[in-house]
This record gives sequence, structure tokens and C-alpha cells, in this order.
Amino acid sequence: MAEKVSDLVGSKLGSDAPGTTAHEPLPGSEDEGEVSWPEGLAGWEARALETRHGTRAGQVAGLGDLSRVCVCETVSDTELRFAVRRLFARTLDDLRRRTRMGMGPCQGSTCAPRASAILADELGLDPATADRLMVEFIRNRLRGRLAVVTHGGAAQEELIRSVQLGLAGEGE
Amino acid sequence: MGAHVVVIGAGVAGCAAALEARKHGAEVTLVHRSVGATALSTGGALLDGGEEARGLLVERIGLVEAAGSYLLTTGAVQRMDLVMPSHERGEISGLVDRSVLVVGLDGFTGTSAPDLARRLERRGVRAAPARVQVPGLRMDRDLSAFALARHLDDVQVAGELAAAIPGGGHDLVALPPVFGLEQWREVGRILDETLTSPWFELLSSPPSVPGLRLQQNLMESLRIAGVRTLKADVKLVRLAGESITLVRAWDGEVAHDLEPDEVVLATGRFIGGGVSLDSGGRETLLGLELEVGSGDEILATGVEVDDELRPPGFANVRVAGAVRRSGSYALGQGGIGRAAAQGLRAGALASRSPGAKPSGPVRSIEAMPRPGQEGCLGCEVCSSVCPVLDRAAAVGTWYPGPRGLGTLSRSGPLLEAGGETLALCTLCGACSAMCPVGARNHETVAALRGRLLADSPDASPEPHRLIPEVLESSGNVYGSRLEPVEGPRRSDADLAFFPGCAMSYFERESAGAFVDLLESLGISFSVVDGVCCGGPLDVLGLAPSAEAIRHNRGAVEATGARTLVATCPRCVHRLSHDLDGIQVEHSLETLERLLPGSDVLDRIRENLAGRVVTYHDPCELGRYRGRYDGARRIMELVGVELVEMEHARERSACCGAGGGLRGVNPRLSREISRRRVAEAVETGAGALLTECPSCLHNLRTGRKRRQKIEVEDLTALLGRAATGSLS
Repeated sequence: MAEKVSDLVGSKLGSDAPGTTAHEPLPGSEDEGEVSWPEGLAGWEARALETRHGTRAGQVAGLGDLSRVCVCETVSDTELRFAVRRLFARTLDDLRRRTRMGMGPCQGSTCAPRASAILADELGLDPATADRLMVEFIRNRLRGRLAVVTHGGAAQEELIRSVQLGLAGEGE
Repeated sequence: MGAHVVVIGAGVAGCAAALEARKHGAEVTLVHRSVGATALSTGGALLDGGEEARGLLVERIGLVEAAGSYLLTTGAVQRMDLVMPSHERGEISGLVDRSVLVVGLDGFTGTSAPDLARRLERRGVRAAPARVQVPGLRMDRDLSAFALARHLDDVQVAGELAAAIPGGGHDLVALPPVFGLEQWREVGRILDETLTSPWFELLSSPPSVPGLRLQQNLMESLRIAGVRTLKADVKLVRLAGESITLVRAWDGEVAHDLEPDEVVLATGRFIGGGVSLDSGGRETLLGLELEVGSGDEILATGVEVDDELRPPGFANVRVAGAVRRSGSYALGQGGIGRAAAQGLRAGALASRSPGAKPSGPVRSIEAMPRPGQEGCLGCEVCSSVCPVLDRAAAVGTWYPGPRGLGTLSRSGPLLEAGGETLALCTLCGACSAMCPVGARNHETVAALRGRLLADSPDASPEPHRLIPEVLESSGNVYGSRLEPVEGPRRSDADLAFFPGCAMSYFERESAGAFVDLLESLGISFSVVDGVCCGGPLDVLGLAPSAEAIRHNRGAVEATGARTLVATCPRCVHRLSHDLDGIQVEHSLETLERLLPGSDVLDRIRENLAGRVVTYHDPCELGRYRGRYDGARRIMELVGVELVEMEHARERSACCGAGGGLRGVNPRLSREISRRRVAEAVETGAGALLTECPSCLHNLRTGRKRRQKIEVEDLTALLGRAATGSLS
């Protein structure tokens, strides 16, 4: 159906160039052959990368520091840097959408400061800008949470808020 | 005697109440079901609304007065009135114009030294970053603060690390707050001696090592004051009229009935589990209905009290801490100081001499259950007690800790790839015993392994795939032919002895000594020729086959005995579940029945006179079943002197054998047992006793040749003493 629709749209736009989407692999779907994983990478860390980056996962893993930044969603330092360099992430919310960082139970309370430091490092931001991006991210995560607090989320929210009192720019 | 005050909750409010009631002469029992929520703090305190608690927190809990602002590892700055001593020098106004070396540790991403140095510079501090490698670890990433802190509890390691910190040229050294979890005082002394400049630890957001240290201080102060503590979950209270007359607390195995004159309710809010919003606002122990506000006000939901801190409708209950409606520390209001002050007042009110005996209609209130695994907060307290996380980095194995493993239950694809890591858990249950929300992490892990094995067997680690097959084909977990244990076989026995796989395979001598002991007791017993009880399947969340159960039932019935004894706690657990109508007991229970007053006791006492021993509580006997006292009563009876290890009883540390780890990663298993043996050696005892063949075998594996300590089963020692064949 997608092919027919795109042909139709093409003809309306006066183009008769052949559609290539059925043959052209999307990034991460190319056949990259056997992936060589860095030594010491646990199976589940590799799988987390594969589910998000497909065949590019090995390339991401080989980039650098494999330390987890987001523990809840298994997102490493190197994956965040990849997202900045190759997937054009410019805010923490961009990073979240590309990697799931900050989407686990702790909602960024552990990873946001570290992710913002990585963002600052990659983009050459000063600490004040990095803090502003982080606070913005934390506030965005809060929207929508209060609605579910009364359904088993209260303890989590209490802990998240307590932790966030100690995040730069929030506690001051 | 004074009033009997029962305090429920071990956070700062409950502890303050217990200490104050004790000071006023009350007899105090503090019941707590997990670590107090004060463990989930920064370790520092604000006194907003709690000025009265200053004296208590400083003089008895060990905080120091150092009002000001402190840098956190996150880069933020927080105001504090009181801090733990290791932070005192880090007050920021005192650092201005001075030079500070900010130390980061390789593989520990909790602190970014360059980022923190930049932030200090902005505040007028001359700061420079340094990076140091932690000695004794083979892992250069994902080191958890708790695992590091426990690694540095080894003062020798801490000393080596301190020596590696560049010296000279700095007024102060700023360290991440990981320098010791339990031995931090000793580690602090090492830092004083080794570093050329004064040092301080940064503060950390929760979960933090200093928060856990503060909680330890609280528990220590209770011990010094003579407060009885009971680690158990209050399930029910009974009332006469408006007064609570009975508090029933369950420790996993036994119900403890406490008869209080007064009760202090200090159960915390959502994290502590004292308040739930799941069916409207409700206090979880007494079922009080609570008003729930809107927006952020929701987080302040709590119990309203009268002038004497009583909730409506209860005459002898005082409420203190976060369970009360009085702001929310999550919103920056109050916190430790306020909770402590409320605790003090509640303790004083509760300790007044009891009035008239309560009367009126009798009724019971059942407590609401805790949320369990679904309610995991991600607080990471579990990481502070995990024996696998503690040692994995030392052997270069990546391990994310109990909470990390729990995340596998949320994602099928990750679970499929996580079998290898999932197989590392020893199922010791230390994490579950600590968990604020009552998650049974070790049961979740076993269930996840079972799910993986059923759904994608190829993704399960080989040893897990093989266990069911091997049991089926060989009748034991080792897949080889086991020689029967020597001893009488009869059909008119009073007692049947089930040796189990581990004893028949590794510890035949111990089995022989136990047989000797039974013989010396002069009872009619028979060895059972059974097959594996199926216990190894427990680590996969599976049950034994009907065939195996039938076989074992037949083998026990052939002895004529109605009582079955095993020295292996796993066998006891499994068989008592599977063999209806047969009384199954652990060897320590049998001995407690048979040894007192027996003819052989004098001889045993004589032969053991002067021996100094220490005792390792097997997880499956202790944490699984709450059996701690039996072994100690027997040791007292036979007259050996017991010196306890730092981690004993409820806090016992795993030997490394559990959960099938030995088959999956023998190196890690041995490393864990080494740590345990080292702790036993510290006590100076001549023998490390236990009463579990798996623990026994693994502890023997972990003993280094130069370590002079003997590792033995308690019953085997008794058996040798009875026959005069002691070494």
C-alpha cells in the first residue's frame, strides 16, 4: 500500500522517478556483516544497543566509554555521544527520544546530570547552559507524572523529588 | 518497670522516639521491616522545624554542626545544618580562595572531577581535577558507589588508594563519598595518615553511602541505649476500645506478639510505606483514611494528630515523622531534623507511666500489604548488601546489582540476552531483606530464569539448561554416580537421615561425622537412599518431578521413620514442602531436641572445652526461614565460645555458593567465599562453623592454605567430639 501511495503522490507532484524505499535500507538496517562487540560487553547491553540502532549497534559500542549513564534503560556514555554526533541531538529531550535515556522508573534523576555533562562536553556548552537544559528536561519529565502518582507511583515520585533537590540548579 | 513502648519504623523519627522513651525509663521494642528510610538520605540534615533535635543528632547520632552549603557529586549545592564528620571541611564558603584537588575514580561515573572542579572555580575556589585508579579491581566501568565503598572497607585497599592520590600543593582534597560503608571511621584514619592535605567527602544525592552510614549510626545508638530491635513486618494490631493491646509482627517464619502500653507510629510516608494512595489516601497500618490534596500537595498526604500526637480514634498511639501530615521533604520541607524532633516528642509522651488497663470492645486491624516488586523505587539500597555486586568488579565480571536485574522483567528482548548475567545472583536474599517496598528480588530472579528457560532455552546459560536433564538422568545434581553414605539401613527407625547431593559428593566426612553423632545419641535411625530433592531446580523457579518426589517418599517410608532430618537447608525446605505427612527438620532442630540431657553431652563438652569458634548463618536457614538461634543455643550447650563475625544473623553475608553461581562462574563464587572466610579469620576463632553442605564446601574452597582456621559443619564437629576423633 505504501508503495502505491507514494507512486500516487509522485504522480500528483508530476514525478515519475521510480520509488526506492522498498530497496533502500534505512540507517541501521544495512547488512553490516558480523558485528564485533567490545570485550566485556554483557549480552543484554549489546541487545539494548541493537534494539535501538540495529546493525549500527556495533559501531556505537566501538566508539568509546561503555559506562552506563542511564541505569534504568541501559544507555551508555558512548551511545549518548553517538546520538549527539550522528543523530543531531541538541537537548536532553533529543537524547531521550533517540536512546530512551531518562524514560525508566527514576525519570532522569540519576542520569540527567551526567547526560547534560556529556552534552556540554560534545557541544562545548558552559555549565550554566548545561544546567538550564537539565532543569528543562527534569521539568518536562514531571509533566504527566502527577496524574499517575495515585496509582502506585507515589513512593517513586517522593524519591525522585528528593533526589532532584540535589540536582544542579534545582536545589539552589 | 516503665511502660512498654513499641515503636514501628527505624527511620530517624522512630529511632528518636525509641531513644527518648528509653531515656524516660520505658522498656522499648523497635520493630522494623526493612532499612529505615533515613538510609535514603544525603546523610546531612536540615533542622527546619526541628531545632529541638539538634542535641540528639549531634550528641547521640554523630552528626556535626557545620551549617552552610555543600557541593554534591551531581554538581549542585545544597544547604545543610548538620553533616556527617567526613563532609565538615567541604563547606563551600570555607573553601573560597583555597586550592582544592577534586579526585575522581576510574570507572566510577558518579563523580566527574573536571566538571566539579569547574563548578568550584565559579565559586571562587582554586580547584583542579585528578583521576585515580582503584586498586584490586578488574573492571573499569559501571562501578557502583556501594560496591566501591565496600571494596574500600578493606583498609589495606583504602590505604593503597590514598597513597595513589597525588600529594602536595593543595590545601584540601575533595573525595567522592565512597570511602568505606561500614569501616568508614577506620578508613578515615587511614586517609588522615596517608594524605598530605586535609580531606573531605563530597555530599551525594540519595541513594548515598553517607545516608547508609547515618542509618547505621541510628541503629548503633539504639543498641547502646538498650532498645530491643526486631526485624519483622507488623501484620496486625488488636485493640480494646481505643487502645492497642497487641502488635503482631511476622519475621518471615515466626509471629512475634508484643503487648504495648503505648505505640509510636513512625512508618514513614510513601517510601517507608506508611501511607498509600492506591485506594484513596490511607495510612497502611491502622487503616486511617487520609485527605489527599491536589497537585504537589499530594506528596504531603499524611496522618493528622491531636495536641498529644494521637491520631483520631486511638488513645495510646503517637505519630511521628513522614507518616504525619507536616510538609514533605520531597518538596524541600523539613526532613531529618523535623522528623527527629517529632520522634523525640512522641517518645516522651509514650513513656509516661501506663494508665488504667484498656477496656472496651475488642477488634483487630490488618495492615495493608506492601507493593512488592512492582513497587521498586530504584533506590539502590539493595546494591549495598549484594555479595555478587560486591565482588564482581574484583574478578572483572559486569554485574548491575539486584535492582538492575529487576529491570529485565520489563523487557522480553533484554531478558533473552540477559541469561548470563541473571545466572550470577546467589539468591542469598540479602537485598530482599533490605528492600523498603518488600520486593522479593531473589524470587523474581529465580522466576525470570525459569521464564527464560521455558521461552528461549537456547538463551539460558548451559548449566541452567542442564540441571533438569542431569537430575532426571542421574538422580543428583552432579551427574555422576554417588556412593551411598555409610550408616545403618533399617525399616524400624525413629529418625531418617537424608544426606542429599552436596554432602554425598563433596562432604562425605561430614556426613560420616553426623552419622557418628546420631549413633552416639543412641537413637534408632536409618540413612535414606533417595534422589536429589529437587532443590537445585529452585534456582530456576522450577519444581521437582513427581517421579523424584515419589521415589524419595518411598525411600523415607522404607525406613519406618515419620521424622526426616537433613543437614542441607535446601533439602529441608524442598522436602518439607513435597513430603506431606512426614515431619522434616534441619539437623540443628534435631539436635536441639535430642542433645540436652543425653548421655554423650558431657563427653562432647569435655572434648570441646576451650574451643573458640565463629558461625556462618546459611542464607537458606537464616534469611529464608528466620532460624538464627538454634545453632547458637547448641554452641552454648556444648560449651564452645562463639565470637560473632561482623555480618551475622540477619546481616549474614553469602558464602558464594547459592543460586547455582558455583556452576556458572566458579571464580566469582570463590572470590565471594574468600571475603567471608577473611571475615571469619578476623574474629580470631579457631574454627568457622556452619550447618549447610553447600556453604561448608564453598567456604572450604575460599580458605587460603595459610589461613589457619578450620571450616566445619557444627554437627560434624559435635560428631567428632562425641567419638573422640577431633583433630
